[in-house]
Amino acid sequence: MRRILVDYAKTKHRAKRGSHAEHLPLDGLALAVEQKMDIDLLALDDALDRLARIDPQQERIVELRYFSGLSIEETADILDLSASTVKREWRAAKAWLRQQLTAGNKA
Amino acid sequence: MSDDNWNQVKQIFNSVLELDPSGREEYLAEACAGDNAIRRQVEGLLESYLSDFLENPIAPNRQTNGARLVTGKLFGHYEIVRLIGSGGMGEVYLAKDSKLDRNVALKVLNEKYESNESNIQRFIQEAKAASALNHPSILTIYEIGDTEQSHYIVSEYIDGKTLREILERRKLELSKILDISIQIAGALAAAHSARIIHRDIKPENVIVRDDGLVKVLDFGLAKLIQKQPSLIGLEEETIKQNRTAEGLILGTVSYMSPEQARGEKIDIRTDIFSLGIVIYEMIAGRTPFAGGSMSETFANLLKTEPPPLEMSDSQLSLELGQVVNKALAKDRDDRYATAHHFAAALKKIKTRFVRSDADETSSNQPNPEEKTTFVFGQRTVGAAHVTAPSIGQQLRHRISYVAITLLTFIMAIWGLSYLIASAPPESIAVMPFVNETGIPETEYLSDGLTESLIGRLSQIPNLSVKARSSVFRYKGKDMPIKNIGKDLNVPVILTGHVTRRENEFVLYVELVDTATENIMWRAEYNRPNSSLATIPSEIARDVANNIRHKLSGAEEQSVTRTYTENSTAYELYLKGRYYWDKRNEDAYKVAIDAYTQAIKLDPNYALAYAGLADLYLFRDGDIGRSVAMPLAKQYALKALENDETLAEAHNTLAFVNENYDFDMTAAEAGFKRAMELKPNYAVAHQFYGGFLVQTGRTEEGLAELRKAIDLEPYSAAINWHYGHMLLLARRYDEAIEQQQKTLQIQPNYQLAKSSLASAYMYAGRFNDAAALIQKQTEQDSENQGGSLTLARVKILSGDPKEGEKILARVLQEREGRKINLYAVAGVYATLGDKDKAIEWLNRGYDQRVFQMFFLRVDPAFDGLHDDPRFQELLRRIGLVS
Repeated sequence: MRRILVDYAKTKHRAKRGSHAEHLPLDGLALAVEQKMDIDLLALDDALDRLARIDPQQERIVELRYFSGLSIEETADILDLSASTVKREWRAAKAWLRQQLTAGNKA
Repeated sequence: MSDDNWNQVKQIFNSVLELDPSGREEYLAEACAGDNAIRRQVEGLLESYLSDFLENPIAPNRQTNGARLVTGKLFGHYEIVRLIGSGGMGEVYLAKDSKLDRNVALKVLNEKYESNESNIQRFIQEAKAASALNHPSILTIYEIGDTEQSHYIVSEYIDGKTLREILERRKLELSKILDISIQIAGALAAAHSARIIHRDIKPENVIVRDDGLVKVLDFGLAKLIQKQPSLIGLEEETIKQNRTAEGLILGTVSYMSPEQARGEKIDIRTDIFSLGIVIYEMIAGRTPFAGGSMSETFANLLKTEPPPLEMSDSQLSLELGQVVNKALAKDRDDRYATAHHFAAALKKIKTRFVRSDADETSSNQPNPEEKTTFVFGQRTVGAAHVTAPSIGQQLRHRISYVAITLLTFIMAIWGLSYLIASAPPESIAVMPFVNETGIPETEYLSDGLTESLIGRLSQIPNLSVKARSSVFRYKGKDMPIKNIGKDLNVPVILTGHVTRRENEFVLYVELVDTATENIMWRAEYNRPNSSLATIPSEIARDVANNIRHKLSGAEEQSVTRTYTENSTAYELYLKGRYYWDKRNEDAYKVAIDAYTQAIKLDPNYALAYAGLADLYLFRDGDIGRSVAMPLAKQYALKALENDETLAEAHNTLAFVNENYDFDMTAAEAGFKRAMELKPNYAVAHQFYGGFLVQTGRTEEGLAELRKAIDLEPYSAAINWHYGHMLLLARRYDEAIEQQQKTLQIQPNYQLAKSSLASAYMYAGRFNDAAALIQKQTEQDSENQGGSLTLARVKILSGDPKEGEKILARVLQEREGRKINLYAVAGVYATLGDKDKAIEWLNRGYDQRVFQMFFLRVDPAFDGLHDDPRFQELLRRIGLVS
């Protein structure tokens, strides 16, 4: 799901910059992506890749929580972790990602 | 951010958040202990932390699906065990069907597909039709239903990984890739022949069990979800229903056929295309048309040829590449016309490449001719590799290449025809059938059917069938067939799986060539429960035919013989056998109950009587020998009354004749009759061997016991028996070695430990004997036999006072309770107290203790042989005439 949404955002990004207007068949998705415009999906994607290098488990948690919309309990179930661990890791991951994204904006 | 201290940073960060704000500063200072770098990082995180951030998932509105299911919650009569997967279509749970007490997979779809009723009906019809094909590689669906919020599908639960999960973890080797592909193609072929198109073949829809069995999921489901499966349809669909987007897109982008993407009418060849992509991905690690974006992927799918496959073997790359490319043809007329054709092409590759690989490494060729064939074949293929592709040689290379291809083709045909004509295998192992009923309590069914097949196939002349004790060591172990084949030294293995539904059961069996792991034959027996009694004989006959053993009329009769027509009685018999084998009192009670019920259903059921006889033969622990032995005899006679040819019953009766009736003539005749009826019956050789040693025919007896071990090499009881007879034959060093071997098979076997301690004692290794008894006593403080042996060890090692003390203590402890009469007599004999020894032996005779049979040859009583009272006792027992 992350791949699809990020791919979509990329295409959209290119189209916006006017490289060449592409036909974007997935307008339904566009809705999903654009409704959340407070998040820069591409930057988040990059930051997630970096997160994966220092904490791959947190990356999985973010993917499941944010991109697949799973609850803490479901995420814990799938990753075979306790809910409290997921909660703590998720908190740290969110802080770390937000730090990365805001730092990016400043630069 | 440094990676090393990340764990520390996030730990402090989380602890701070959990504190009351007033205490945070102090904690932070303390936790960071002056490490400013860490402190800065933690503070940075705290500053950036915003609890709402990312809390609104980008995933298309899944929250609206209503409460999802949690462990322990009931969904109809299904109790949720845990979530096992989650995808765009919905969640999959492992659940327990409380009505039928079995594990199931419960898939709850995210969406109530409000599309017209006929669409849903079509889906249900198709999914059920596919499931009803009962193909081993098509997931069986138990129920499709809907609640107010959603549709759900209940299916058999497969403990395996999806092909997607496997591909994420590792690269698969060629043989595995082909194995999986061939099984998927087989499932498709079966479905297609029933005019069912899958429409959504992808790694997520394929489950691979640890033993390699492949299951294809969700036949027909794509139809329900994608009413009009095309990108054009998809657009509208997604706008209308965000929630289905994920499932749609995943199914679409990478595994869709061109005609599917264009929204054209599809036929079975769309599945062939999708399978082509899956195979491509298994080999290359990526899908052939993947682009940077979805639209790029879409364009590639319609216009671009897939990048060529590269494998270590260039010939293989070429040939497998051709097969995959044919499946991936843009124009469906250029693809394989059917999944059968596709499967056949894959099998050909497997025979050529996987087989020759195996031959290269296999040192154990059943037939030199076969080896020659493949060595020749290999050398020619190898020549293609070494031909230098220099420009000057290009043309010649091509010519030789064509010639070689032709040659290898001829080789392949030759190999094939050779296989067909080759001699039947000389040995086979039947692996314990896997119980897939989801009900552990019905393990007796899978075990019992396995045993029945071992017994039946053992009747085939010139075929050595690995014994029960040899193959049951592999039960539940995940070991490659190749290794088991090497371990047991068998060219062919039969494997099986048992599943069951309300009124029917399904048995899948496969004959596998252990050198190549190729499946030689596979069959599926789908029968009503009322046919359970006849299924083992049916399978045994089919197996015999498929390993090309021609059976004579009489042989076929003994292989296919059934003892009852009543399937319920048969199942009860299997249950009885299974619990009997557990050898404990509680299990005996279950077994007696099962046998008794079986006899009620079929009063002439000889096997059930024989089962009861065997049970009482070994159940003298709580009811006493004087009750158990007459019962054993009575049931053995009852069994023979119904079927005089039952070897087991003759053997059991002979054992009672020997050990309880002291009728040696009848005993010997009975053992001989049992072996005549069933020459491979290990227990008959075991009992007869013991009988011979105890009556003084030592060498003959030891030979029979060795024969029993040959037949059942991993039976602890037989190995113990042989070791103990070696001891009675005064071959102490061999006895020690043998009991050590027994203890390797079953480390906690008390009889073997006792026998080993005695062997140490007779060999003069007093310290070893004492140490072993000491250890036994630690585990079982009431180690009566051990204490009495220890008394003898003390006496023999020159401390008779200590020996007497131990004896006195045991006698006092066992006052008024059951006491080992024979062993007490042994201590007195060792002390030289003949009167007491004879007195205790006479008590042993009166109570018919089983060790009395060792009396004539037991070294413990060597000192009594000149006593007339002892000789009289031997005569009474029948040990001398």
